[in-house]
Amino acid sequence: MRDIPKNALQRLRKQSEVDAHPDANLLAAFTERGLAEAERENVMEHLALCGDCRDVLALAWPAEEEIGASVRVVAVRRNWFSWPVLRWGVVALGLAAFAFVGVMQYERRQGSEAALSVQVASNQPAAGAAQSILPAASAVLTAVPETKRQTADATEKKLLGSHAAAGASLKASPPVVASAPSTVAVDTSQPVESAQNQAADQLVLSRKEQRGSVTGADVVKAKNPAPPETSVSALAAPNVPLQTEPGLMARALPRWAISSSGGLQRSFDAGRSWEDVKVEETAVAGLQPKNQAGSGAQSKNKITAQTSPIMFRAVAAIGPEVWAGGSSAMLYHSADSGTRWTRVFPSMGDAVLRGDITAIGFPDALHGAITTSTGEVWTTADNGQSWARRQ
Amino acid sequence: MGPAKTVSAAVQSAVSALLPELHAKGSCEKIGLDRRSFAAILCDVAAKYLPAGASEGEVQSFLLTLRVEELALARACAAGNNSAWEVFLTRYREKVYQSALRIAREDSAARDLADSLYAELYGTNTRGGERVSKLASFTGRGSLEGWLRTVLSQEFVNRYRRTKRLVSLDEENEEGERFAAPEPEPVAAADSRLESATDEALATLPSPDRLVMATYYLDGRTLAEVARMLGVHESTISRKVDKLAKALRKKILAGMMQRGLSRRQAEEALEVDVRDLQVNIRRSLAQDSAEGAFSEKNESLRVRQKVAPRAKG
Repeated sequence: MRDIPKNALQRLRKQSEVDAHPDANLLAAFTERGLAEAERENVMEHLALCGDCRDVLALAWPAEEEIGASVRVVAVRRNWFSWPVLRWGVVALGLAAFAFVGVMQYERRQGSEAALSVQVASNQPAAGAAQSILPAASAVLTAVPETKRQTADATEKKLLGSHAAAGASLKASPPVVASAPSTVAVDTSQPVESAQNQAADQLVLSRKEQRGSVTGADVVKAKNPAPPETSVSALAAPNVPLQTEPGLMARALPRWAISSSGGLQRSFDAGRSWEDVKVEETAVAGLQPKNQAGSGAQSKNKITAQTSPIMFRAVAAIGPEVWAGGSSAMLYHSADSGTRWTRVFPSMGDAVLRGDITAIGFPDALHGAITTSTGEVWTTADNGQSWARRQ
Repeated sequence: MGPAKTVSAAVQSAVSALLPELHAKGSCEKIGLDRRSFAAILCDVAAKYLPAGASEGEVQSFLLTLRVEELALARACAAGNNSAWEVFLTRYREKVYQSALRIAREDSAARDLADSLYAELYGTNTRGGERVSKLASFTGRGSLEGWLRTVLSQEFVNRYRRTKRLVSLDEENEEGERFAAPEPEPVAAADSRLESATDEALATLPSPDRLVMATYYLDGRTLAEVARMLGVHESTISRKVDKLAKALRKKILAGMMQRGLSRRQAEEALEVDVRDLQVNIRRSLAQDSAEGAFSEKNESLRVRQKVAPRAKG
């Protein structure tokens, strides 16, 4: 029983003499638990007597906000993995099988040419776009690089089960050789469920990516000569019917902000509530400049990427493309509103971007400029594939 | 702001020792805050919060708890630095408006609130000819975002102290009820022994407990709200409130028995009172919440309390 005697209530009310109110610094620090014990005691003494100050705190730190944000994040995750898998799992499996057959035909007919075109396509500016163009097929194609890659590091292997790895592994692996068909055949003896889940996951994500990578796709098509184009578009074909799926597509583009502690935050409800976005590299950066050593450097970056917390300073978003930069030249790019991130290392010749990134401006998806604390200004005209330092 | 407190030697040497680290950590360069200015700010903050006799080690520990990056940003803005303002607006403009909206619950009042805050932050108020920005009073003890929200809330409470409480609290409270005269007590009078036992019991409560009771029972906040305000988990508050209510009961009973009542008599007196409570508690809370902490409502309560013992006697 929680009720207290009315008498006690009256007595509580009575004790409302109030001396000097703590200022905003102390009140804020109180709630955020940043006060020393003695200071906290003092503030509590005052708060026990001062209804106004209690009201101030209740207004400044409403309970719903925190609960709302965490619920939203959880809800989003559930949407991702429960509904689509259940409903589209079977369809995805069928399409994956269909795509696999298609790929086999192509592999046999075009051999290394097709494989190389896939490789070329994957190195195009919008890495996300490449991934989205090969969604259903990539479930199967992960088999190819997996067996081919002997020098691959452990971290990349871990990612294999996921969509992101599909694109990443395509980029990272050495050119696929014509003996692919046989390896593909071998690996399709995967258990049905995992392939189903994989494909479903990838479709889920690819749909998201597709929304955001229109420009990338156009660029890919523009840069590729005719034969690879047909192969790419053929691979993309199985995915077309799935674009009509509602629900996932309804997720609006978020707003972005940087929290007071340098964390990245986004809001899907026009700023009413914000959730922290964890920036972790989910795909090895295919946007790394050529002068960095191949997979060795990539694996090193993957392992060391999260040892120190990232302090973000600037964020810019154009549609679902997001650029976030911060301390120690940390620059991350996402093509899907922050679901997956890649680390980007702007460089030109021997020069590499240094210092803290303090400003990012992307008037459109291709063109952008990054300013650092050391006064450097780096620009790109191809969505971060290549950079130039303004002298 | 009044004259600066004289800065002790310990503070000065602590600041000097940590200055390079803190200056870098606060990214002061890019927002135009040089070392000397930042050192002055740090001395100022340390002197404000630490006792005069604090040792250098204590000062250093204190300085390391500060949110230097936000402190630097706020003070650079207060000094009028444009790049600092750019950073500030990128990070906080949306949030300030959204917080104002959440506080004021209505668009035009929210805009009003946010605008008046910006006026204070930009320093459009002058004092003796010099532009004064409210950001100059930020000390980095708490987050800048938290500070902004607190300032907004304080402004709101000051402005709308009487009428606001009807808007911002939950609709479960009866809105707009004010009495001209104090409501007559359904129970004839509270037993004076009950009263004094209650006083005694409450007096023994440490301030954290009293705070929880005031917030939960007087202000009528939900457990979640109380927890959020105190920076603890909701289940902690839930347990605490249960414990407190039980302990209070026990203490009051014990107090009454000490004053000569038998156990049964004490329980009866309390029981009657509590039953009464069920009927009145929401009303009381609503009434009380509808007013400020020092308003005519409390006056009428005190009158009631004075009346009650007399009626009994």
